Amino acid sequence: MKVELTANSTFSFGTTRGASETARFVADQLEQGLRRLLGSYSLGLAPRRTFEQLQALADECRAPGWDGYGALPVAPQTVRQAMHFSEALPLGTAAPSVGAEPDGQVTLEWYRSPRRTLSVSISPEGEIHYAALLGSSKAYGTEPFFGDVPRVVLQLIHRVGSDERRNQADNSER
Amino acid sequence: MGQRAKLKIDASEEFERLPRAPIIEAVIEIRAQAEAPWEEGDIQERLKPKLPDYPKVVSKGAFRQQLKIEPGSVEQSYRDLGWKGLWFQSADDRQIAQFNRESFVVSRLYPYESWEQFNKEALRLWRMHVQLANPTQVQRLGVRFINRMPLVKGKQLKFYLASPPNTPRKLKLTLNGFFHQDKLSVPGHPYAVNITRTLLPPEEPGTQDAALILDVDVFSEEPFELRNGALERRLAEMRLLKNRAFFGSITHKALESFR
Amino acid sequence: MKEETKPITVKDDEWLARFIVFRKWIRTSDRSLRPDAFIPHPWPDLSVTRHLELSQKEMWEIGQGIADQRGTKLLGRGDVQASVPRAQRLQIEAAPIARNLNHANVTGWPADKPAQKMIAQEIAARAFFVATALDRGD
Repeated sequence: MKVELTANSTFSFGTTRGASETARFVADQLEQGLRRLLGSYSLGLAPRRTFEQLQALADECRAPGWDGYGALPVAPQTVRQAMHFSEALPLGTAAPSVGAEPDGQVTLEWYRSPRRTLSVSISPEGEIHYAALLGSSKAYGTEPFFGDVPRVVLQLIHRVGSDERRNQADNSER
Repeated sequence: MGQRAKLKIDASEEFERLPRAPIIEAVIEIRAQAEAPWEEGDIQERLKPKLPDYPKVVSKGAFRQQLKIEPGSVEQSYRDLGWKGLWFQSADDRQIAQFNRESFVVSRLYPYESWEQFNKEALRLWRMHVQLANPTQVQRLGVRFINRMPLVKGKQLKFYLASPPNTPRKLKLTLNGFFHQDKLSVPGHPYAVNITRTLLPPEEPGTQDAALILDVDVFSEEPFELRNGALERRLAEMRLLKNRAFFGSITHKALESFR
Repeated sequence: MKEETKPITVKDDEWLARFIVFRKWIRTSDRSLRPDAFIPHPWPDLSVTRHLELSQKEMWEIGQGIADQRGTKLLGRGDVQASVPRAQRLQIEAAPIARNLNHANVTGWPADKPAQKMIAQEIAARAFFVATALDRGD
C-alpha cells in the first residue's frame, strides 16, 4: 500500500463527535493509546517541554508590565488555551518555543532562521493568529480553534521544518 | 513520490441496502462558529417550540478541570468556561441533536433506517441552527458511522475483516485486544477518512460475546462558505466515501450476515 | 545632546533600540529576537529609543531606567535601522519624554493582529540583539 506523508496527513486524530457509549469507548481507547505513546521518552519529550515552558510563562507574565513597556498580564485562561492547542498538535510535531506578546497572548514559535519561521498567537477566546516568513514568501491570518489545529497552521509548521530537512540533505550531498 | 490521480466520486453511485446493517450510530457534525448572539435563555425559548418531537432537553456547559500533583501537595481547580449549547433528544432516545456555539451535531442511534431519512432530518435541524446562529462558514464537516458486529463464537476476525490484525510472524500468540486506526487522504478532494477498528469487550465477563467495532469517519477541514448547496453536495460525496470504506473493510461472508 | 538641538526627523539610516527585559524574547539558538519584542499592541505605537548621538553608557542608562520600572534586569536591546519599519509602511515620530529625550514612536500599525505579527516578523528578521555587558558575562 502506498504511503504518502504530507502536511494533510500528519497523524492528527481529530474526530467527528459521537453521542453513543461506543463513540465514547473509541475516544477513550484512542486517548489511552496516545498517552502510552506520549509516555515514551522519544515521543513525549516535546509535548512535556512545551507544557513546562507554558507553566513557567504563566508565572513570569502574571503581573502587568512584564515587558517593561506596560504589557498586559498573560491570563490563566490564555495559558490553558495554549496547552489545549499544544495537546492537539499531531504526534511527532516539532516542539515550538513558548513566548508572550504585550497584549497578553501566548506565542508558540517554530524557528529555523530569521526568514524561515512561524509564530502563532493564542488568545484567551481560542482565536489563533499566525504569521510566517518562508524565504521570500509570507503567510498570515486568523483561524478559530475548535480543538483541532487548523490545517493551514499544520501546513506552515511542516513547511518551516521540511526546508530544514531539505537543507540537511543538500548539505550531506556536498 | 508522484501524485495520485484524483479519486472519482460519483455521489449517485448506489450501494446495497443492508436490512440488518450493524450501524449503531450515524453522525453528521458541522463545525461553524455562531455569528449571532448565543445566549441560553433566548436559544432555548426559540428552539423548544420548533422541536416537539425532541422533548428531552439538556443544557450543556463547558468546564475545565485540572489536577496538579506535586510532592507534598495536590491542587484541584475547576473552571466554568460558560454555556455551550443545548442537547435535544427524541422520546425514544434514538435521535440526538446538539446546538452549540461552535458546532451542530446530529446523531442517529440504533436502529438506523436510511441515509435519506437521516440526511433529511439532519438538514431540517441544521436549517433551524442556521436561523439561530447565523454561521457563514463551515470550518469542519464530518460524517461518521460506527458499526458494531457481535463476534460469533468460533469465528475469527478474518471472517469479518478484509484486513484483520495479525500476530508477528513465527510467534503464535492469542489476540486479546487491538486498536487500529488508519488515516487516509482522498486524492484530489478536501476529504480524509479515519477508519478505526477495535474490539469492544463484553460488558460483564462471561455474559455475552465481545464485538468488533468498525468506525468510519469521513471529514473535511477545508473551510467553505455556506452557499449554493455546497454543504449538501459535500455530504453526498462524504456518504459515498463512507460506504466505500465500509464495504471495502469487511468480507463478503460478513456482508451476508447483514442481509 | 541638548533637547533643542535634536533633529525631529528620523533619518532612514538612524538606528533605533528596543530594550529587552523579558528573556523569552531572545532566541537561545542564535540570540536573535522574536517578533514578540516588536508587537505594539495593546498600545497603538511601538516605543523605541533613537541611538542618535548617545554614548553606549547613556544608551544603557536609558534601558536600565526601563528595567528599573519593572524591578528587573536589563538583558539587552534590539537594534534596527529606521528604514526597516518604514519599508513596512510604518512611520517613526520623534517623541522625547522627560527621562528619555531620544524617545520615538513607531506608528501607523494596522489594527489587524496577524498583519501586526507579519510586520513584527519582518522587523525582527532584520534586527540585531545586543546584550548588556552583564548578560554577556563580561
